[in-house]
Amino acid sequence: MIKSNNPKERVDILHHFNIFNYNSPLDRWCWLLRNVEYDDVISRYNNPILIYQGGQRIVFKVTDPEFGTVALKIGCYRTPQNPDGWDIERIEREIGILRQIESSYFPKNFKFEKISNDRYLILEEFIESVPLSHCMDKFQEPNNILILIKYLVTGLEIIWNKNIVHRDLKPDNILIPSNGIPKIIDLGIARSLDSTTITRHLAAGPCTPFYAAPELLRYDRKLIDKRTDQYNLGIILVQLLLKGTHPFDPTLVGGQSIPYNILSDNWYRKIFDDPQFSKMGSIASTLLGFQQYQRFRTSEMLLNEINSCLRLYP
Amino acid sequence: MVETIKTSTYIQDLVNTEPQLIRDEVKGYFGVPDLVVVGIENGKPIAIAFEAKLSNWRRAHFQAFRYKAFVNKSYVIMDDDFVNPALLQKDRFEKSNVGLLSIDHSGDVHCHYDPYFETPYSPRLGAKFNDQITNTI
Amino acid sequence: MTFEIYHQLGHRDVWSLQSIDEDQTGDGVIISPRSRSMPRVEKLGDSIKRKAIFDPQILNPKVVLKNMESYDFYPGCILPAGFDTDEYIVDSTLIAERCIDFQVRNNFRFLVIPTRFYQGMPPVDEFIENQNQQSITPFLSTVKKLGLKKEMILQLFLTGHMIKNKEYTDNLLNWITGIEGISGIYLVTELHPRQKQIRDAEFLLSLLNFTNSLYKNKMKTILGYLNSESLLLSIANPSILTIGSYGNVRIFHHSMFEISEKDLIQIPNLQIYVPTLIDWLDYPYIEIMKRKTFKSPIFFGDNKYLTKMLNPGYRGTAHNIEPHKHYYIEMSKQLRQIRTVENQNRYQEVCKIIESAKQGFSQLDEAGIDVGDKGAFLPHWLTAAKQFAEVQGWGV
Repeated sequence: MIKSNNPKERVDILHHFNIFNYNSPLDRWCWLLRNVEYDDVISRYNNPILIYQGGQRIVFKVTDPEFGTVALKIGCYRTPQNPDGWDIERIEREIGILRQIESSYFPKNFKFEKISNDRYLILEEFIESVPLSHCMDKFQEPNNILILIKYLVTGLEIIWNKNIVHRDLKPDNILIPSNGIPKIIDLGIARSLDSTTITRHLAAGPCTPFYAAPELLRYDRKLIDKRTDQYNLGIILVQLLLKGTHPFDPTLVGGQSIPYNILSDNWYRKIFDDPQFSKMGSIASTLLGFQQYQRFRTSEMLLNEINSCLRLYP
Repeated sequence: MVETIKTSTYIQDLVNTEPQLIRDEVKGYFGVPDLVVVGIENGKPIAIAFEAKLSNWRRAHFQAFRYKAFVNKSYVIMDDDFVNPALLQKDRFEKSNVGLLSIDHSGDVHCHYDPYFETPYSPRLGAKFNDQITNTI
Repeated sequence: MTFEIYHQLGHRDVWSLQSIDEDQTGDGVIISPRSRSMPRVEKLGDSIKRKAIFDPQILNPKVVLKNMESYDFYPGCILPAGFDTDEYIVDSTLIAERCIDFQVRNNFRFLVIPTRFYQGMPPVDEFIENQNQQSITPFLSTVKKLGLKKEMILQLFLTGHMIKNKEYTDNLLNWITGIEGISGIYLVTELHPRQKQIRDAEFLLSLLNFTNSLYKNKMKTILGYLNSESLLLSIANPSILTIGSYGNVRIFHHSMFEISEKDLIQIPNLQIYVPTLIDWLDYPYIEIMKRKTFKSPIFFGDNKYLTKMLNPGYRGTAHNIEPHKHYYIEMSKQLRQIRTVENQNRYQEVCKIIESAKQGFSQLDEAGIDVGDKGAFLPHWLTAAKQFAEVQGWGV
């Protein structure tokens, strides 16, 4: 019988004797109350600055003697919800992809390792930036929006050409540095189209339901390809025109929910009745094609269309 | 129906001269008439084809018209009980010069349109048919 | 978008080649191994082969018809145990290698990836899976291995059932447009049952939509085995339309590849293509039309072969050269007329042609010339055209 009332202490004792029970509500509850341990890692660095802290992950800005200013991410990959540690597959996949890429559109990965107590450590390029979700007001003019989308396509092309689909592109996963050239992050659920691995996750498959193409919401794996990411670009494009409102939002178009509206192909098309935006209607409608064949078959076609549209917005 | 037609005096009297030739299922020209009757007038053969149908006058007309490619006259002959729809379209028969007959239960033939003599509209088939019957008669 | 006119080669393919050369009736040919042995294909001039599309005709791997035996890539020829579904997947690479080798060696315009014909409407996932496994993957892998840069098109046989089912075609289009490396589709459709002229507006509209979807994806679409419905289908922006003279190259049916071509060629009645009517009529009808009011060369066309056929002494049959060469000239003339315009203008031109044909049949009727229900296909074509135009927003 463990007498400690301190959740962290309780969990540590259970781990020490290898009797932590992921199926025990009490043990799980204690686990949730504890934060990610980081002292042993962060103590190696001078003046670490906390950037983000969540239940499973903590991020600092540190100065690494080898790599310079970096983002230091410490996280737990084995959780009560996922006692087999599926998360580490996801993280390793992301690292694997980032290591293949040499591009300013993606953060550089310098280091990844598994450390004690079911934790992992990542050293990544630190990007002084704001997520798009927090600076949508900077992208209100059609010109700016199109240029942003063009950057994103150019960046995504790099992973598309490696037969990799992001699958989770959304404003939170797009960082906007001061130079305006976006960085795409969180390739955790990116999937190689050559892969036969099965992602053990929610029945509906991994994705953020508000930013998911119909085939992703249905988790029709055979249909998921690069055009799936295009759909997300379409959502983002129209969301920016709508000053942050989601184009599938029920308050705009009715329906039960955003995912419901996505599956019903019900989005706010009326925005393109506005003469200011009408020239973008074709690109948006194609990106948001319900069927994949209704989207752009190649990134070249998409970029050509964007460039043509940009010429209409001097 | 074809047998009834063959023995009908009306049909036989259509070609008033001797000798006569009556053949059924004449093949190798343009369509296959149910019956062909041939006689000689002024030393030349005159050939008449018949398409017998119970009720489908359109089909019969179509086929009877084809036979005009190699005969001089062509008739549709129908069951008297079903001839009314065809009668309503009599102008078609007149325009195409295809005869319309009907035969009742007693075997009596009624003529609703009697076509005029024409040379076959296909000289080639007409000549071919002509050669055949000339050799036969 | 303008389109090219290709001859669908078959029986007496030398007439097509002559017609293209002498009368400029086409931009190229689609070669049929069933009609022309390998040595004879290889002997064709480079200028012909460069513009030619080779149709591998592996639609039924069990069957190897006479001329096909001369090729080295038919499964029935090269697999030791003959065709066997289980072994086929393993041997499909060998077939791909040889088929590609032949096509590359002869420098045809495209590299054609053949696929199998499936009757009816098998589950779409199964259809796609089988085509990928048996054909597409082995071909694409081989191309990649050899480092070939040739433009590739995928041959596809689709039945009327498939084409008319929206969910099925959505799945097919998602699949086709997602295949990396191919730039077009060589599409052959089988509608059964059907008359010589298609009277199924739903099928025609579905085919128009399918073709147009490929066009919007900037994919080339080659529509094979076409009869005069090529005029109608032109409004969906295909890249190549085919013309073929013998019936079995104007209408596709898979059973044609189960018997030899010689057995297939019956002795049909002599028929002549009447461009105003967009249809073929038996020769005797032409004779009576001449006798009556239809003397204008515009009605029948105007070329030396027609002049010969309209001569009272003409005794030709369907196996004579004149009806075929006349058809090539007149059909290609009609197609070339409409390819000078695009989109809505082309749609309007095609509607005019269809309306003229309707009037033509009315004139025949008025003149007492009964050609049966020959013109009955025209309202269906007009319906399909109008419904397609509505979707395009062409102000119907």
